Amino acid sequence: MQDMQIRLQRLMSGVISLLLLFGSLTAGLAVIPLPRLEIPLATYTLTQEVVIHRIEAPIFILGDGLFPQQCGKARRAGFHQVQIFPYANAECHQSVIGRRARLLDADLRVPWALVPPDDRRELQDLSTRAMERVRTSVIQGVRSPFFNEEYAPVLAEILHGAIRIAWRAPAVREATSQAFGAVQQESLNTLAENLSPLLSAKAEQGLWRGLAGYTLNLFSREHHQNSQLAELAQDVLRDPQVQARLVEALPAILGTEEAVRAVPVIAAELGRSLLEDPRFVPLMARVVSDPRFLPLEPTMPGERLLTVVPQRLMRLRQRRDHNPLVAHVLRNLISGERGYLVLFLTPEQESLLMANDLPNGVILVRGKP
Amino acid sequence: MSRKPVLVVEDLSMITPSGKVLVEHAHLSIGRAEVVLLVGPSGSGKSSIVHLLSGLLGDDGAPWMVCGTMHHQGRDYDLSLERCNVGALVFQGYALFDDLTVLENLRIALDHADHPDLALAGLTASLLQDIDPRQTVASSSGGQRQRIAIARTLLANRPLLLFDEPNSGLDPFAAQRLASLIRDLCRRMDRPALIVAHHVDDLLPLADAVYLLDTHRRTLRSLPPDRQAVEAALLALGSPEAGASGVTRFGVPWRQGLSDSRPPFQWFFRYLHEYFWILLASPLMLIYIFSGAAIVGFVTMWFGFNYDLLGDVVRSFVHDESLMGLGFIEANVIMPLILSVMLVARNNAIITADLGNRVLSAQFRAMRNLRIPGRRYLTWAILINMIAGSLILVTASMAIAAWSSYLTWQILFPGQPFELWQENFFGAFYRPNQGWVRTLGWISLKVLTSSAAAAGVAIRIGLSAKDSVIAVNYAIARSIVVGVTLTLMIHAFITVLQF
Repeated sequence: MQDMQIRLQRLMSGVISLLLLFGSLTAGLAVIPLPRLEIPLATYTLTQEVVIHRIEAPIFILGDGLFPQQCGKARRAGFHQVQIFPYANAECHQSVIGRRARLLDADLRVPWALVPPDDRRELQDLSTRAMERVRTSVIQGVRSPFFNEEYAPVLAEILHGAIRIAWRAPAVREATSQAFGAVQQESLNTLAENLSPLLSAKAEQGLWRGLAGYTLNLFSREHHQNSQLAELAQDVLRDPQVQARLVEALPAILGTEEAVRAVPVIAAELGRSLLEDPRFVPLMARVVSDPRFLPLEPTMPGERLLTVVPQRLMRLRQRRDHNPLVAHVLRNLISGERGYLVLFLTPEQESLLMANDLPNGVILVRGKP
Repeated sequence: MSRKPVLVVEDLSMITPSGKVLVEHAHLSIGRAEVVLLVGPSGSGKSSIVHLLSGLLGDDGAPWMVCGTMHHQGRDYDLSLERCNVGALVFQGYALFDDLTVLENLRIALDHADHPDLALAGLTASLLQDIDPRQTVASSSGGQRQRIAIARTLLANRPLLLFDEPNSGLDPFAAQRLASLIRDLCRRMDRPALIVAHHVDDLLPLADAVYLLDTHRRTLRSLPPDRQAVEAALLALGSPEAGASGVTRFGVPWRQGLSDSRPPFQWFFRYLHEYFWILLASPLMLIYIFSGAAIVGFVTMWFGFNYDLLGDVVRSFVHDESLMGLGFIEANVIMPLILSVMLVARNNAIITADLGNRVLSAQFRAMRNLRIPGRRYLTWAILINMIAGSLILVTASMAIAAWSSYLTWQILFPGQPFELWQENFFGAFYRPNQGWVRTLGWISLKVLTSSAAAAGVAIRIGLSAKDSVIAVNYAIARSIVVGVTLTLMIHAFITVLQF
């Protein structure tokens, strides 16, 4: 009897141990990515000629309230083809099969198009107010005597130097030449035709001022002449007619894909040049710690904008949530590398997003050409 | 009884490690099938003489000084140079192997005997008729244990049987039965027995010769096997004197169990299996390790995402990288370390306690006397199980930790697809430029090295000399502290090398 009990006890222990080990094996097999052959669900053909710089891009579908869900990855296969590897779950699989795909640049216009209209209006109002406040503060600061005396000359010198260096940078050269190359000649011609009479009149007025200033400068220092030229430029830009012509023409010039891509490149180069100047950081440190600027700091709208914009873009549904599309776009933005994403959309989602200014991107057509 | 001696010790001198002279130029002779009593005052050194004849004297490294010669079966032994183990000893506390069944206690002696004699199996069966071969030592009575110990000694098949106070603690009836048993065994085996005894009343009637260890003259003095003469001699030395069990149900299994001799190395596998169960595969051990792994998976993910001080928006922004980092740290550093610490803390305690108790109850001495390479069997069985076990357990616990991490992530980020977690969580672990095989190599190195080192510590501390239960307890504590500290240091050192 006792012997039987011992045997039974040992048998039970053995069975329990085996079950535990089997459980750990099952858990491991369920979560650990085992090496396996990746077979694409489908191959898509690009409907436009584009150069894709990256090999992989995440694919997304949109759920309730246009909230994105990551559903796998797309991989470049030759110059005109993209292979789609969706996640195994049924929702991703079916969504990928039944929707139209667009290859998009991973820039902020994509998450912006997903933001609901009310939020977009709120953000626009807020940004307008914030910019006004910032502008006011900056103008006040810039016009203050202590700024003009202590900071402006050095800052102008640093800025000019940085612009010169940035402009010579190969990346900026390439980006701007692509941007201007993409502008339709008609737009440039129209702008030139509209501005030339106004600029001629201004130049004629400014000529006499310039000559007077030049004569004075013969007995003075060079930067006086520069300030005369700066005043002339400011005068031109302050003219409401010039402003109106620029407002009409600039969207056509700056609205191209190439121009949009050139902006961050220029900004990055300019930023780098500024930071490389050994005078810049100490000067900025002095500005931000100068107690005389305190009464001029932009307050509420600017701060609120900083907290509201990420929240509205991320559109988190609960406290702990993850918006993979926005995270992907922001990562690309910060890294400065050009990235892509593939969006699978239903016809309804497509029409809604196009109304929200979603970039066209490149439509992917299932199958090989 | 013929007095033609089969074993003669001449000119024997023994000095204890502390410098006390036990005997000088002593003489001892034992005839064929004789029962010889060795009496003397308490602490006079009777057991030391028995240990000398069983080859155990000084096996703990103590510096005994012995000289003299022994003649046995036509060969002379120089006792100052050679260790002579002609005798198989029945220990005072029996020193039975309590992790083995009764049958296994006998089998292990039979399988390690120089000249296994299967005929002895029948003889031992007659001693153990009331004992179930499959029963444990712990479930055996005092009398049964004594007979098991005698039977085990018989199976060693040595020319001389040695008994160290076999009748201590026995009632007069049991003591008489024991004396008859020894007398009968000597006759049936045609071998002599030397019995160290304090209480000689029940043994004297059956004894052929008596030797008194004379503490005054420091010699062995032959006495007639007469109660009055022995008592008088003992009284003269200033020592008082004073003065067993057993019955037929399981005869057939005994004969079956001891009907053949098997290769000794199988006993290594017996211990390997025993420690596999204790150190690695018992349900409690697996529950303990897997619970730890599940908690590690939960804690890493829960606290990694909840207490990052980033805020909800930034958390989503850095989600993929955070997940990658947490997965990398969990798999590379935390899980191997926690597993090793848990494994070492538990198993070092078990190993040291097990070995310590064997040392304390003279089991290793009994093994040595029976020519069982017990230390080697146990040491290798423990080391192999610790090394193989750590590899199996680290694999299983990493799987459990990853699974637990996934479940926690699902709670934190509901509605997100499993594959998003999988490709990020394992993103750094399977880093293509470093190779996951190399990563697994580093993890294995950490776990294996720390397990082997900690097991070595546990074995060393466990096998050190013990004189009390308290000493065993201290050894357990020391083994845990040293083992865990060593584990932490090894992991830290290898992790620094890894990155």
